[in-house]
Amino acid sequence: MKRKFNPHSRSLNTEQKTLWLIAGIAVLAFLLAPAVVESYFLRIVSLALMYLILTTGLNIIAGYTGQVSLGQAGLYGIGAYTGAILAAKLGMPFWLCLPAAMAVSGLFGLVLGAPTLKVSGHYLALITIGFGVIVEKILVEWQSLTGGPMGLAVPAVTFFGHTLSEQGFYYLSLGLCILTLWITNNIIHSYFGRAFSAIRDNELAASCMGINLTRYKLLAFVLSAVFAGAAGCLYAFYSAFISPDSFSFSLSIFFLLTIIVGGAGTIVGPIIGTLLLVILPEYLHFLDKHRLTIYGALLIVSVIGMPQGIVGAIRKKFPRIINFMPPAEVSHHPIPRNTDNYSTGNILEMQNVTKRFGGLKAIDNFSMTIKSKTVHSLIGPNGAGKSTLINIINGVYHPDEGKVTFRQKDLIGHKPDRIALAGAGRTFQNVQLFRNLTVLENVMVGGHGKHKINIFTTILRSKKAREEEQRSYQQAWSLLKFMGIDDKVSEYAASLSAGQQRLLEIARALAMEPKLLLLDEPAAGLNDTEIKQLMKIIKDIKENGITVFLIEHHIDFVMDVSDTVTVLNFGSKIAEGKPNEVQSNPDVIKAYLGTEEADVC
Amino acid sequence: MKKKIVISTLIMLSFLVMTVIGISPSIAAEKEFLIGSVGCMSGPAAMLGKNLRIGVEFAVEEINKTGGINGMNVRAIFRDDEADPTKALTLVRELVEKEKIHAFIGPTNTTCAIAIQPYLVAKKIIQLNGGTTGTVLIDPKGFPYSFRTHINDKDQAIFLVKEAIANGFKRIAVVHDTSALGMGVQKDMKDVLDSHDMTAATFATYNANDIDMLPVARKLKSADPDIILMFTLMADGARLLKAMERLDFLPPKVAIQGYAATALPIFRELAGNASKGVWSLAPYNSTYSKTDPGLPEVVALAKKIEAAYPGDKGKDLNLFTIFSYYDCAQLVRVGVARSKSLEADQIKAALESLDSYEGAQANYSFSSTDHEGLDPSKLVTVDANQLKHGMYLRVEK
Amino acid sequence: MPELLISGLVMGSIYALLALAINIIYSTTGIINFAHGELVMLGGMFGLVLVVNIGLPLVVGIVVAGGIVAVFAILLYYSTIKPFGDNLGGSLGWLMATLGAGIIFRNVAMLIWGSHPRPFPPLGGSELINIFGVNILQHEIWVLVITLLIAIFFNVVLDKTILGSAIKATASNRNTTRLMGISAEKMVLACFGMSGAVAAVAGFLISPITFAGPEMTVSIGLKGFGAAIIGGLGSSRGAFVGGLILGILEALSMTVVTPGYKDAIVFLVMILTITIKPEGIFNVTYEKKV
Repeated sequence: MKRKFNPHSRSLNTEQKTLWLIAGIAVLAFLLAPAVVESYFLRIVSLALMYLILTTGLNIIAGYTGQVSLGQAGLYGIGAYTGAILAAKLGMPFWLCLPAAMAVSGLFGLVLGAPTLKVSGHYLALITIGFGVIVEKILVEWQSLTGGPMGLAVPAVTFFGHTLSEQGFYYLSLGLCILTLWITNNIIHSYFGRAFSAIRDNELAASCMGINLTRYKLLAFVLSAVFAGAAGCLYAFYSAFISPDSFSFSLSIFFLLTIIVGGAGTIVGPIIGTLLLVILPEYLHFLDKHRLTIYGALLIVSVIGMPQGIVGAIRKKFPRIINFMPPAEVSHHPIPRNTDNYSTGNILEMQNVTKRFGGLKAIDNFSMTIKSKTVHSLIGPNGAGKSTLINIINGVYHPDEGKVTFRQKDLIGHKPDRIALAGAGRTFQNVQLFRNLTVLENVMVGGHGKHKINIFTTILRSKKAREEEQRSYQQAWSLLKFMGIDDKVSEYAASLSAGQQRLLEIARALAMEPKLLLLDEPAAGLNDTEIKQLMKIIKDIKENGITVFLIEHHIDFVMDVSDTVTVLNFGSKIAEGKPNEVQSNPDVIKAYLGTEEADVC
Repeated sequence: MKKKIVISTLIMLSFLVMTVIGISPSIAAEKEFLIGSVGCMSGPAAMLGKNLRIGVEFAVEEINKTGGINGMNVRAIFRDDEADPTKALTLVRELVEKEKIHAFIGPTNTTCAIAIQPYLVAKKIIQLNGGTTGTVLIDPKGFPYSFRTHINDKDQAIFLVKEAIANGFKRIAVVHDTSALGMGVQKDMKDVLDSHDMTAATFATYNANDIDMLPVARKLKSADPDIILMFTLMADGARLLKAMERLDFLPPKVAIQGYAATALPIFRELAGNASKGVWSLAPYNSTYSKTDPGLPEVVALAKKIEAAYPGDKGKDLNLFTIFSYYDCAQLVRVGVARSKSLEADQIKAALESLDSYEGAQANYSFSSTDHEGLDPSKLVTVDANQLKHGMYLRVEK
Repeated sequence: MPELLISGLVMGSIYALLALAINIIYSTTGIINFAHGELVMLGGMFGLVLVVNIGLPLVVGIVVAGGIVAVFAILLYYSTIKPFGDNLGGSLGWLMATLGAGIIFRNVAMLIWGSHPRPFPPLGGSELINIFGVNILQHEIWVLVITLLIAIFFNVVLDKTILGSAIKATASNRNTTRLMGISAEKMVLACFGMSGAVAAVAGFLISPITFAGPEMTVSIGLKGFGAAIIGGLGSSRGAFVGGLILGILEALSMTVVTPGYKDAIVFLVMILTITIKPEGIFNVTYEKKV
């Protein structure tokens, strides 16, 4: 195995070694368990493993993508009944029922995920609860198919004519469970996984990085449903009898609780949470009547006391568990070169653009062209509509009138992710980072659009996938080094200082390999040294042929780096030209002296 | 910060400890006869588990007082399955493999029973079923170690229909929910009616726990029956009767008779005036009449239960269901005592040779082809509004 | 047919009652209290203790129970919602916490009062009265009337009073509210208190129909959320109309389709409403949190 394709575990520090040791012991313990533990305990562990397949999938949607699902028991039930019905009525073997159950559940996952395009949060919670209730009712009512409330008997799993024993089933569950974890791990540590987390942390920023929210949310739902289906099918064959009362709403709450207790949005979280919550009750029989009350209390205490779960607490205690190693080579010229040429010489043209909010015209009949490979700045008093203009260019807002042409293509009506992929990178006035991702991962999200491999190649972690990942890793590292924050790669973005966060945003935007870079007040909150560094960075960017569109309040800074300056006031252009021309324009002086000078700070 | 770390460390530690416990074999105390019991003891069906627990506990106390089983002290272990078949099987396996129980009593829900019975067969554990009424559960060929003391659904259905026909009712309407119990009953009743060349006036159905029963009542009334047979869970049945009251369609305008759940004191209380004149059914031994106070031992037991669960505490108890579970434990004692063995096959043989063993609920006879302790002939129509120490008044129609 | 309508209206009023109290919390905090059904249950159980066991007059019972449940609602806020701070949209911890609180309420109630349902005295006695050839309980008219009054009360409070403006201001921006000299915390507490009191009233009105017991709101609790959403979260008119629509829809599906699919149909309508028109019938501005 070539080590350089394995960037996340090149050489390990003490914490990471300890972790691998624990993982190794755990795997060994699971492999040897049937020889040691009592058979009833093996059943509990088998059940825990089946649940783990489901909760690992649930973690993709609820933990990583941040979309709550309280209907997972419904998907689990669909998987179980698909497997059971195919086996009982059509005599299909387990090996065919399993993929069928996964497919059918996945399809329902797609249906369940559809509303997420419009709503999230508690609306989604209610939709998924409703879905669970509907599935339960249909399982009860559609008696000709499901056997109704009396349930359905499921034939045993046979393997070359032999019926699978209890231990055999344990190993089957263990195998499928490990496979699930491996697949999930591969997805999570790919651009797919980063896209999921980006959506969870900041939908706006994610879509401005070229992530198609619709596609990735649906994908996350389908993946979680497929795993739920697999778990359900496995359960149906294991228990040999299924009835609707095994797929109730309280089970959905239980599933969500396991990942919250363990640590949502981590691979290990569901493992710890599921094993703990399935096995722990076996030792709490003495609690008797108080059991459910304590369960409810555990729910509250865990979400309040340990919102990041057990894994989150461990990570806080041992931050060095996440420790990225520098790649084999770091490029000293990480900024991608742009060699595009346009017949008009303009990368962006805006004609008569008007945008209204309510009755107010934020942008009023505005026209502007940005010449390719220049630094074009936009200045104007607070509330002039500067940020609105950037939001129109990259598709966050759609103008009411007018035309926007980017790289000689009409942009109107396109969503931010399309425009981002077309070559427009941006930063935000109020920094919009993915706060729960590391610095390095933030930049790698920026490189989202450069990834070409599909989900199947990702799952298999082929050579191609590893090479692509390595390229992205190396590029991100190089950009961070260029920005001077490569000592922070393994830290969470939220922990950076304000200035560092601005630099990180620029690095992230550069990772998009943009043709046009939209910088919204990049110098705000920076100290003098950082501003000097920023100036150099912008000049470097320009030298590489990337057009920069800059909004800034620091006039000296603007005058120094810009080729062209446009002045905006009350949504209209009042002046445009070379920096020194604009500086002496009487209208500009009036606009600034009259209103702005006092609160330029 | 620190607190959180302490919490997580504690959780991790407890996890480790219990994994170790999980591996270590438990040591069963010598000279102790263990009865394992799994039932629903929480949620809407918690009263089922309560009946089970009381019945078994009374019997165990009694058995220990009179010298135990073959000299062994008896201990019962109870577990709550929350009416979930998956949990039920896990718990039964825990009882059999870890606690090493000698006999099993329960469970309280039919789907749970379906889930656990194949396992009990494989492990050769005697099962006494005291209140799970699914017809398919008793099958001496498929489940050789399962015996039942409670009247099953089918026999209740048969009893109700036959009794109605015998009393000259012509238009028989049936109401039941869409649960496993309800749908099974529909089929059983159709069979009996078919054998008498009759058809039901209507089968009215609803969802268990439905609040609004007016549409159901309406449907029943419009079928114009002369008797309504109710297979309704307790609160549902009470709401139904209240809806019938609103349509002014109660006895004596129409006869109404319900299955076991309508004999509960709490059902009568919930339905209030609407339950007047509504008949139920009960096994003969748990009844009395104006001239016959009932068997002395049974009356003594009923009084004891009444004393332990007076007034409000005993409202959700059904005397004959408690009796049924009481008999379960007593039958375990008899089986072991007669066979002088803890082997399931020996106990089974001993139970199968029983002829007219006098239990609290009824006189039991089993055979190698029949593991049902009760049959329709042991039931009588009762008026559960008139209880005496929890026992029911026989109705002379 | 008239009976069908009455069934629908009464059940609809019950859903509307749940939805109204869910709304009042939503309108200040932007969250849905998933333990609301259990607060209603507590209202019923305390009602039972006060009215049946202690023998207080019904009206006094409602007032006292309203106070007790209001305190419970405020405790609920402190234990399950406040710990998550101002930024409730970003975390769903409160969702799990309120679900957990519901489980605790239900099981503690079961330990205290047992699991079985108990009869509850209806308002105006249990005599039936005949209206348009249909026998109804006086209680059912009360359910409809009181629900309507509460809906009107909330509508007036929210739209026409200073308190209402303060509540709305709290909802839109807690920091601004603070600057304006309104204590956001007090507003939220006031709303939780009101919601608790309405839950207790609902408990008194629902219990005679469902019977009082720890599980009494399990099957109807979720439909309260459905009613609130169909009408438009945050709108009192919406809650009232949404509840009635749901009630009548249920009564219809019970007779037209088979009863078994009734709940499935209700939740399907709820899902479709959220998906197609998340702002509900009354066009409450729906803001997707970015």
